[in-house]
Amino acid sequence: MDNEILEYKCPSCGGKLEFNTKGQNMKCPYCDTEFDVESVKNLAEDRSNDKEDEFEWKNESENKWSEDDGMAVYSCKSCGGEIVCEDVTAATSCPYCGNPVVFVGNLSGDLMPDLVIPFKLDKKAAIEGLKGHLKGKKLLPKVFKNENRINEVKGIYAPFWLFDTDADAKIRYHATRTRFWCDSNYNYTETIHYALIREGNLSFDNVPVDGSEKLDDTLMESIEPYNFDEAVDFKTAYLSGFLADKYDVTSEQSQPRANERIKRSTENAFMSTTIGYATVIPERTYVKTTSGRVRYALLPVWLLTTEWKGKKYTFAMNGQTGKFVGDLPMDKKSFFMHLGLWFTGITAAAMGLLYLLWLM
Amino acid sequence: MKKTLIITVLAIILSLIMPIISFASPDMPPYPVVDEADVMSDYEEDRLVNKLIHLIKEHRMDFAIVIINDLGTETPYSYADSYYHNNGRGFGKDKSGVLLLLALNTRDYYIYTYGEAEDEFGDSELTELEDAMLPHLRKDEFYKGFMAYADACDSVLSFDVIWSLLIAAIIGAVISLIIVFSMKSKLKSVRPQKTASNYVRSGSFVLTKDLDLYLYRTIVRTRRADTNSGSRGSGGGSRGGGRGGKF
Repeated sequence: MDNEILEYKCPSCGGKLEFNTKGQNMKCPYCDTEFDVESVKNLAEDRSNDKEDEFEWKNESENKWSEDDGMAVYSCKSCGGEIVCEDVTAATSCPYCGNPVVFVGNLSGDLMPDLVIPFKLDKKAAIEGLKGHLKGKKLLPKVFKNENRINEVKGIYAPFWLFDTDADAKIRYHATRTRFWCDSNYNYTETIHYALIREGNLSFDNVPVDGSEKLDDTLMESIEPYNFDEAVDFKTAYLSGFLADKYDVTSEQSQPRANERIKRSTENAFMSTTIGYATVIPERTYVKTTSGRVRYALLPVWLLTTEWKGKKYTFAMNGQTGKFVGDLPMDKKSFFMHLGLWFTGITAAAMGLLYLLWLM
Repeated sequence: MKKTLIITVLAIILSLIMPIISFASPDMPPYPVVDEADVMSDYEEDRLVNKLIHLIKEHRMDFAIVIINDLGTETPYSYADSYYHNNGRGFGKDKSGVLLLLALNTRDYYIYTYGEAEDEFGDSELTELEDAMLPHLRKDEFYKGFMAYADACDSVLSFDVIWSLLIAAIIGAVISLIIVFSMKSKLKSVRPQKTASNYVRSGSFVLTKDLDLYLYRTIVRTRRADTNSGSRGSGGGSRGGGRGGKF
């Protein structure tokens, strides 16, 4: 496998550098020295010379793991330990020494992302996010809340395809207006039928579609939207301290999902121009996208997993906005208890109200 | 023995004059039964009077039954209307009440309502009264018909616990289900995005064609429901509501 490891060491103490979400720079957790991303990039360039030195382990990995296995083996530059991971892994940490490592081979050439949105929220915020997510859920089993132990919290740069396009649309609707009147003998209902023709265009920027097979598409869509004004040109330094995968779903495979969302948004925008009618039914919809551009981006996601009653629960938090999602189990007893209490209370109140109305 | 006899006689006299005594209250309407056609025995009339007085007190509304032989030249409505207002009928300040008029020679009946009673006794309530009394009146079972009519009046004005409970339970079930299912929906937050509206470029939506073309029109005509189903008369003076017919 033509891949290599990139890691960042503190020029001051030699400790592993991590991306600092608060300062948007690189920080050494051991001596607290902070570094500019550009500086770290220069360091990375220096480290690129080390690639030749590390070339040998690639041969070794090819002996043990084939591409078909979907696995790869690397050697940690800090401790020499073997890192076995999926071949799509772009950034991880060494299981022996914990040093963050970046596999440059999975982030260069065709695999190099165009954009990255750096993490703005750290692991602590993700754990707090989960606590907040569990609050106020009256049907959540108390045991789940009390005994909930997070199995894993990982910050991952998820691969996304970003679709920019201009959508030209022509939509024809059948619409009606109704009028009612009456005379001494009859009630009249007049229905006036119209054909509404709308043509026009609108543009979309950065419609994201999950480019990872193993990340759940619906989970990834649930933490949208991302603010792409904060996206920056990709630099491997941002990945330090986080996990990252290269895409394994191509942009071509992602297009149908982008088209679906773009089409529905276009239809909604055009529908908003058909006001003043009693009914409006689309008869013919034609949407054509032009000037389509696809870019590859890494977006920040915190993934948290926990297990309860043998079932795995996965939560996700947008590493930029903090939007937290994840389905929770329901306590059936609590459901029926609340139903019974509300039913009794509302029925009694309604009975009292009916009696008061009768008295009036 | 003599003492017992005196007590019995006094009790009978008291029971006869009690309905009259009870009308001493200024709000109370006049004696509630006028049987010019003499269709009931004295005993039956007393029992009916007691029942109607009970209704008047409980529902604070006049309940009167007037049986005449002949309407003369008047319509049932105008007769009932005139009778009601010329004889000081009605309870309280708004003179609310229900008067059942029977004219035996033409076999006309009219349920005349006035004041608050006009609101209380709508079409469906009048139908209830008719359904209760007409089967008896048609067989000339006047006392049974009047008692059934009085019971039906009581039933219309009484708080219907079973129906109310049923309505309250339906309201309770619908609202509680909405609340609990909304609680349940809070547990689910993983949902796909249906649109890409968050990523529409600001100000990029431009309409190049915006046509509303008139095609055709249709007119549906339906006959209006007959609003004059009752045989309301057109007497002068104060107008009440109600409904009448033949028995």
